[in-house]
Amino acid sequence: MAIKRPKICLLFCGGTTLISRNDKTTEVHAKSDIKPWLDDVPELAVISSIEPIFVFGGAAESVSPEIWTTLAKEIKKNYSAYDGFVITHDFDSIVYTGAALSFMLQNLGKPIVLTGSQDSPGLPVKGSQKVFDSFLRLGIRANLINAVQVATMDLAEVSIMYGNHLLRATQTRKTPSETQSLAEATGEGLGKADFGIKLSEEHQRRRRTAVIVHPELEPNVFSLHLHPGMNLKSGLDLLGPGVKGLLIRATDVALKTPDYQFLERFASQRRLPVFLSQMTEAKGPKLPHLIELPSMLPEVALVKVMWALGQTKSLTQLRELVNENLANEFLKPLEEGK
Amino acid sequence: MKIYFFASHTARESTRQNQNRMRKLLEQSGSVVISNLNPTGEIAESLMEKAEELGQSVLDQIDVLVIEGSGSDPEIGYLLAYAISAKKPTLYLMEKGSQANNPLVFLASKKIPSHVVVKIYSTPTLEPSLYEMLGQLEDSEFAGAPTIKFTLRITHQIEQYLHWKTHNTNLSKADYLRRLIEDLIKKDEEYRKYRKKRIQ
Repeated sequence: MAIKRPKICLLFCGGTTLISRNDKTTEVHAKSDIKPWLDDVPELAVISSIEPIFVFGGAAESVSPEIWTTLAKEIKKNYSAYDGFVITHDFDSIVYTGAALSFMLQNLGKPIVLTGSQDSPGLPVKGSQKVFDSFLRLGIRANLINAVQVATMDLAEVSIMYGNHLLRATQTRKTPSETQSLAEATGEGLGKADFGIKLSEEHQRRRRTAVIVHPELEPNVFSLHLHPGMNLKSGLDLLGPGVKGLLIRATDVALKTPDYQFLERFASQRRLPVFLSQMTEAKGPKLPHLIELPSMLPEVALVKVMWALGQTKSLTQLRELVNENLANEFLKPLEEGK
Repeated sequence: MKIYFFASHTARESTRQNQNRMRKLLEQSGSVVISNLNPTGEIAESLMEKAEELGQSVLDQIDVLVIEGSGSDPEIGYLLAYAISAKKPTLYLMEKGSQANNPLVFLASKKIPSHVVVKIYSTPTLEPSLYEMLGQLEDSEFAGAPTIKFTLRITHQIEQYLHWKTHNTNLSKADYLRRLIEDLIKKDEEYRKYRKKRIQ
């Protein structure tokens, strides 16, 4: 009798550029593309039994909160039938989707791994050819094998497998380089691919739990990044009536007392919750309509605000929600020397 | 030649002895052997550092994978999947009686590429099986792939000759020189005897 393979659900959501055996490029843009695409990666069958679900096949910039909600609902619907979930995704917005799923899917007992092709050939991105060549023109192939293997392992978190790194989704940032790469913001990550996949010590292990899904999001959140010398008032003049939440990033400037007072008045008059993301050491006065965020990556902070506003409109509850470290999203202070 | 030797953790005690023998035999063949049996070491570390720098898988820097896969470790399927996708020459050894653990059964036989060689062994046949398979690799297309960089200073006269010889052909000067040396190897009986003795 043959060995029993783990069952993995592969959700297609972009980032599927695959270099086939005959050097042709194939991608999944529609459900009908899945079968020939999977036929070209037969090696996945050696690791696990794969069952595909089509979610989205458009461009990275079109990935929206609606798609995050669809992904969360698909995972919930199929949760008990699979040992793990792998999601293909474009590079540009992968960290947003990872963060959204981290908040939407709570009490997780199985791995959810996002991955994607290293780059699309022919894109006029500086350094893209270098990356593609260094990955032996495999496209998504190498990342996918790693991601499927991770989805069979003793992990119960939302993660991103990219290159040799397995990263916690809420701690993943794009690295400032000419090539596409991701890194963990403050820690060592969830694991590494070297001669196999090795998980780090600090990770949530598999557990028998019933996943709780909170898929609601408020998409009408506006994010304003304050730069030194910028006029706060003129920034706020941009806001239309449809905005349901405002996130102000003041990581490069220190807000002064008049700024807080002005923001409090603005928030109160507009009945608009205003979230403040500031330098770690900066703490302003406690004002009823202003909610200070703990230190988080910018993408994660935005998604958390969207998610929190999807759960409640109560300022007290919003304050509680954003101050709870729900998915290990709070940044740890950097250790000395790092 | 750099070999990554993976030995199944879940194999029986008697198989473990064979795994250690395999590792020794591979080392005796003159190859650099990195193994999960002794995962630390300067070579493994330097390969991992290089892989990190290049943003590659460390396995990309290995020439051959040898898997003793008599157990049911999940790493076996992973390494085989990697080998298939990266077209890595691979020897997959299973002790007689452990074939039920073979994850390649989930692939249609025509999808198993020729660079993945599967062999069932028993304790007495271990040594000849291993060397026979290494021999197969030596004759394979892979063995002929020029991967070692070598700097050779030549005279102006040799350069002129190489230019004349390769001008208007599809051959580069390096290709021409490689072919000359390959012809010499084929004709060198003494060298072939030496290689055979070393492998046995």
